[in-house]
Amino acid sequence: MAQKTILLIEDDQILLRMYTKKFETEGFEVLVATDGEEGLKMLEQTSPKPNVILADVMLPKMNGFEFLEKVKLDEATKNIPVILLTNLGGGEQDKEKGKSLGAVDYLVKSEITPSQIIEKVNKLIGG
Amino acid sequence: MEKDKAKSLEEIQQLKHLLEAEKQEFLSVMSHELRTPMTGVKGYLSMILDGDAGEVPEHIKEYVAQAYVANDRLIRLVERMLKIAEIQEDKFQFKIDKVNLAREANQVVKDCQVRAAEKRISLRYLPSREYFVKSDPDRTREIILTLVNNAVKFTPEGGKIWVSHREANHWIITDVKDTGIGIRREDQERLFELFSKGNLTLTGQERGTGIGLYLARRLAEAQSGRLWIDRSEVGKGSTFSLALPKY
Repeated sequence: MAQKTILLIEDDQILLRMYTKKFETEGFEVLVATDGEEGLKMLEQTSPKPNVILADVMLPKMNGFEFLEKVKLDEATKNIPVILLTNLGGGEQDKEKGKSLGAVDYLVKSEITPSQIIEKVNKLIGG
Repeated sequence: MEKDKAKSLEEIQQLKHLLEAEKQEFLSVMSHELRTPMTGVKGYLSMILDGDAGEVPEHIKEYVAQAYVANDRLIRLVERMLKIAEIQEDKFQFKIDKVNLAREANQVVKDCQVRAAEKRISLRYLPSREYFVKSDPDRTREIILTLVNNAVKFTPEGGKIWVSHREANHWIITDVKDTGIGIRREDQERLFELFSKGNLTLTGQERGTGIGLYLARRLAEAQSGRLWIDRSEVGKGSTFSLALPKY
């Protein structure tokens, strides 16, 4: 199987480094962006497209929900599974909103370890 | 003159709304700002334990595991504080549904068996039929978990805990009964106050944070339920009861 690629969008440098490190350790190629706009630009310019996208909800310029909406509107990217990450309350409404916009999962960062995220991603893309 | 007074009242109202909004914003941002570094600590510690940074000697692993547990406690504390703020502001989102109470309660009992076994406590779930209530499943489980956890915490080694349900008019009542230390009558209501410390003769760990029962009662009431101490006798034990609307 070809190397799996993930697009990681996270504005906190510590968490961005941590998730990058973990995914690289697990054999992923990691593309990173620190806001929604940058994430979208990276997605447009990348070919082949990443296997999966992990995006924070609270992002500068374009937030995770707006980013997700744009990804789902584009024929070239709409089938890429998107997992939303948040450290906000993780309230039911936000969760529902994420799911209704097409996110496959909605995870609260403080409740989950990097290896649990890897597990979910691998299950998702059949890794 | 009257007009001026009216205007200033209006201004005060506006200012009050503004302050409320700012308080909410502050809590939300604070919780985010606190949780982000805590998430970093949790993640990196878990990666050390996973061996991502190379093999870790057993005695160091134990220290790291302790730090991981301590950090998780901190995360839970911040999350509960946030939840309290949301409930106080009526901002907490409930998802009311038909809930299989028996299944939720039974699961909580299963989840608490390890801790009960550590103190040789017999923890039993009694009902043999299903009960359905109108509530939020996650919050319902959380309330029962608080009650069972407390029962385990305050029941001496070798004691007993029973979880059961009963019907009363439009309610299904869940009883968590233990052979624990019991609560003096004058302390009973105070237990449900925020940051109350109940029995002051207990040590810090046993006393807890004074959040659990306060939050549990608020969660129960916010979904039209009730939570109270049904009976308690010092040295003999307590029964905590949760009533939720029957489905």
